[in-house]
Amino acid sequence: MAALRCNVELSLVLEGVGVLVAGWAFESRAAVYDVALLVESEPPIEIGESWVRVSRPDVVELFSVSASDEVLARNRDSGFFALAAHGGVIDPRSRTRLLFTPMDRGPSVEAALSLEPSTGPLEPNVANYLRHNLPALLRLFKMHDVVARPSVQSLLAAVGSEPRELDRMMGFDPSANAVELGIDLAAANLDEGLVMIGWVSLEAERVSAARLGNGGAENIDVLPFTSFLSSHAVAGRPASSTSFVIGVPPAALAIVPRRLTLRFELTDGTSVSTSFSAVFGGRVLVETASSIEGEAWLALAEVIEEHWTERRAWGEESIRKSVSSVAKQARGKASAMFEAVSKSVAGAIDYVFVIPNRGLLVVGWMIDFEERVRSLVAHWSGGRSGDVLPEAFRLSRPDLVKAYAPWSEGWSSDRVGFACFAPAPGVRSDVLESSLYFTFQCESKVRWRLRPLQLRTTNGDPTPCIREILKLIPPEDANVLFKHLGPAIDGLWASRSPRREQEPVFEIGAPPERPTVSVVVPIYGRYDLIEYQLALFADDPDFQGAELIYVVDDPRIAQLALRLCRELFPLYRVPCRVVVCRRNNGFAAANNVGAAIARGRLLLLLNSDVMPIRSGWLSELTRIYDALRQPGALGATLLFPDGSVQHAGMTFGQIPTYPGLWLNSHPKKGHPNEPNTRKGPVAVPAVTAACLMVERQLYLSVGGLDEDYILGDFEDSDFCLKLRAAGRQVWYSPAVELYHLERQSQTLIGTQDWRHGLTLYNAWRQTEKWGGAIGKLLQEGSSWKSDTAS
Amino acid sequence: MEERHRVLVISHGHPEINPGGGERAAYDLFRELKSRPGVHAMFLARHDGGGQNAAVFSQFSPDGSEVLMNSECEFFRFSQRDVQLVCRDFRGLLEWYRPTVVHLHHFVHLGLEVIREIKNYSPSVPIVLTLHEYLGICNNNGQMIRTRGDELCRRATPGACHRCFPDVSPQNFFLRELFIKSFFSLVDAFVSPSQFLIDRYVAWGLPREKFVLIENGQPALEPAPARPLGSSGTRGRFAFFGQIQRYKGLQVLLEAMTLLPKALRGGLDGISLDVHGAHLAWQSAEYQSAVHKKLERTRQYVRMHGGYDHADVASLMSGVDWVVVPSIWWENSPLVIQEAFAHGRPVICSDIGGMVEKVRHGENGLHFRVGNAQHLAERLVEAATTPALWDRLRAGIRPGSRIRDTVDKHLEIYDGFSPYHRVPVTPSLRVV
Repeated sequence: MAALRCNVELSLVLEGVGVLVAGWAFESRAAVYDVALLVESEPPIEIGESWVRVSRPDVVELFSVSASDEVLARNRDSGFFALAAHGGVIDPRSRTRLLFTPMDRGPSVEAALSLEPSTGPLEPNVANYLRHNLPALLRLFKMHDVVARPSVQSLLAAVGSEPRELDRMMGFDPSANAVELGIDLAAANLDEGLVMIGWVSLEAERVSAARLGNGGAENIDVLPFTSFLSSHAVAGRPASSTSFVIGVPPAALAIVPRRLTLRFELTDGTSVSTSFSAVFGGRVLVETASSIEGEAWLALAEVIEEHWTERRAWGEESIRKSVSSVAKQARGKASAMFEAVSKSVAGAIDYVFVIPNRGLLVVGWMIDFEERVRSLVAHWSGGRSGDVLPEAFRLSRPDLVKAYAPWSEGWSSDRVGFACFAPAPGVRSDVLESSLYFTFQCESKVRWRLRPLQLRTTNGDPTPCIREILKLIPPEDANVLFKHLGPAIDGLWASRSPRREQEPVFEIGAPPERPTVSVVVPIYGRYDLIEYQLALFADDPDFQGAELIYVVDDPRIAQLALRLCRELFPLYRVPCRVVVCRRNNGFAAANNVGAAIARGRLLLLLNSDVMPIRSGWLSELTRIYDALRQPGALGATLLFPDGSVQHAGMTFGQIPTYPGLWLNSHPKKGHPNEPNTRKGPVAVPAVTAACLMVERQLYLSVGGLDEDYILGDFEDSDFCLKLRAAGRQVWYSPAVELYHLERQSQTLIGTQDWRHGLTLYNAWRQTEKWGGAIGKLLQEGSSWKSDTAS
Repeated sequence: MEERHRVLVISHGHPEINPGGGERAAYDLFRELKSRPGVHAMFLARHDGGGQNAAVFSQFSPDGSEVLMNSECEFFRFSQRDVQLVCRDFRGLLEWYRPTVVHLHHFVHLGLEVIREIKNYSPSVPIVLTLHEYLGICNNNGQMIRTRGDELCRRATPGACHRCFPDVSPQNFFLRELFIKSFFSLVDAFVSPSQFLIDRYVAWGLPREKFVLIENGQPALEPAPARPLGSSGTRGRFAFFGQIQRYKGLQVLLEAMTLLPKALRGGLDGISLDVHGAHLAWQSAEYQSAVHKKLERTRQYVRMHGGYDHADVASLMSGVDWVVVPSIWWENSPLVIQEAFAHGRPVICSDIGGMVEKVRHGENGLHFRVGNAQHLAERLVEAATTPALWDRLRAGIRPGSRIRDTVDKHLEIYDGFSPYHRVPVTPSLRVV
């Protein structure tokens, strides 16, 4: 069957307008098509995208046996109305085809059609067809702006619709429809705000409001900033059009979005609107505006001058001066105007993240290849930062290169973005929210004042901010990590509201009162793993005597997880305790919460994706632990599903791309799990918390896992370093093997994923905390490698 | 008389409601067990709830020995999501019937959880599970062929399964395996009608010592007489029996029919084919149209008969000389091979899996390279034109096992469990 099935049900020649084609096209391949009408001895008439689609349940029904549900769903609106625009005369006797050509060079599909003239009375079934689809038909005519054409009017009359009814259905007034609005030029300059030059095809008196929107909540009345010029004829515009210049000062424009909508509300209650994009920067304005006439420039100069008069109150004398000079020049030589204002400098502060009590993380951009900007300083009520530029990390901004083309073709680098952590001890969010602004200081006293486009503060949960930061500022090298990201994220994470000490605990079955081992399993996201563990613990007698604690650290699934444990108990009969956290606290906190309620002499920290290979492993691990000299932490051998090694102890290492940063490494990862002749425990620098046994008292005495690492990373190696600092040893057992379904670890090269950034942040934190100890430990080196327990 | 065994036979369906080889084998076992002195048997068949009373259970036979259970499970890891159904309702039935042995013929629809609940009920009641295909191993309907290109699969691994089903991660395939094995480890004996299936499950990690090979015995029947030949006729009439779906390979056989030499197409001395198979209309539109296209090209010498009643097999066999089994999957122990042999018809089959175990090339049938229509066409020509080949292969057919023998062997297993049977519960989960 062809990928596209098409049936043309109607084709009418509308004199002076073109050919109206209606029918359906059922498409099974999700391909995109060029559609054209081929009329004998005429060039193809492109129909393009100006279709109107209509729902066709009858067509869906037709294909319901042979097509998949997905294809059917995609083709719900398989009906179409299209207009092949053609201003000339088309002979209805011409042989005509509708041609669908897929963009991916698949086979074309054709549908033959026979044209009918629309003059004279319509056949009753054609009239019915059109009447039934009147809204679609009107939408099509509106789209092509042909409602007022005589042939369309006579068709609509023949269909039998009242003009009033049409208006009601369409929600437009045919007379207002004739109003047209156009924007010749729209440009935003850093400090001057937004300037638009355009025309509207009516007299200025008929405009009652002018609203500027960005598609979101922003909706500003810009009429106070609008100057209408006298009507004059310009080629390509309706004869009676009025030109206007709108200059919106930055004070009225909190955000300068790229995609804008300007709507004029008219005195008769109707409105006219247009959407357009604004470009940024003076040079661009000058170049794109070269066609604007002298009179418009003059008006523009007046607008700017008028609004700059207001700004004198700010004491920005230098700017006022340059603006007057612009106005002066505009009267003489229009094209030089913006040169004088901004020359080759542009920039913005895109984001400021408030790091409570510590400072600001500033993210922005600055184009300054002539190195005119001397400093960038943040000011707020009662304080100011130092110059952030010397320390700033330069970010690549391909989006700006694109936005500033063709000017950007001359740039020597795309690293026009920057990010900088500016320390400001004791700084408060509320103060910054009300008073923060930045100054760019140039040579010769030129100074620009900017407010940040986005000011981010946290409200107890800094995770969204951290995620956003890591997406904006990829930790490309050790410098940005150590100087900017590390301190900023550290401060944000420290500002989170403290977690509750007590969380609700539910007992399922009869967990033992005095167990030897408490198994603590944090649950986040995939709670179905509980079922697999229970199925695999069910036949292991160890789990009748152990205390199994599930810590559900994920409010989204808390009730589901609890319910699952309750439901499955009669089948698997593994007693357990379920702690339901009222917010997501992270891996370390979840383990700490579990440890706090545990009753066993020993703790076993276990991940939910660790699965036993055989019964008896828990008592075996206990026996080995109790026989250790200096017992600290004891890990197990963890295997990937294919049987290769996932974990046989951890150590520390650095990689060339981040000199000085201590990362964890898993020696032997992915190696075949060779039968180990030495089955006794092996001393290692650290073990993973995916399966880690430790005395409960010892765990509590060193403060458990450090909760200041973010989202489950490095707290295990940190914990092992804490035990070492307390004079204990760390071991793993080659004899006790379990499966660990850990995802393949992410590579450190290339990925821009924020999770990867987080790993680097956590490594930074570990390095700050333990760098010296790790270096010493690795220097002592060889001794622990061969050391084994008795 | 002293009651030696109380056997609860559990099936994924009742053959009178869901006709199928597995259901039939389970029911035959139950009927024969019930007739033996000292054995009490009960048949519990799952059904989909249609037309029965609203309770979980409903009585199917007047004497109460056949009961239906309304259940459905999910089909990735065969888990019964309704734990109450298992731990309350199914458990209640166990407590009421008090079986000494539970014999499961399958676990689909019921869910694997019933196996654990039998052990919860009593660790001393042995569990026997008959395996019919490779469902535990393979997510592609247990066929062990790849989802793309009909390639044969020799070993399922999480990575290989993920390549067949890209939407399911290797981790989830591994969890599936662990989950299924956690229940299989509670089974005391596995019964398989083919050595091939045993080898596949042992390679997957089940202990070989738990397996017993027992053929699905057939009821006693009167063999169909050999097709009488006219003065010049040859043994050129072939037949296909069974459901029509692509794994059964009818498309290969029809393709082979188009490749026959012109002189041998139909006629008294030529080759013809009778297709007895239902459910073509359930197949995909492409498959249907491919079959119809080939039938159109071969209509002079291929006859499409559609479905048939099991009772008519003998009369259908009497009109043909050979039975062709062109399956493109491994098969286990196809019923059609047993039926062909019971009626003295040599079999031409694909050279893989459970088929070659039952059909020996040159002894009681012929093999052709699986999926290879050209090779099958050569075999058909060879079969129809080699003098005395048919008689020789027909003479090579050994009598198949009877239900009576099958049940004797089952009773041997049940007898082998000690009265205080205890299962050492040490799950052996390692991937071999």
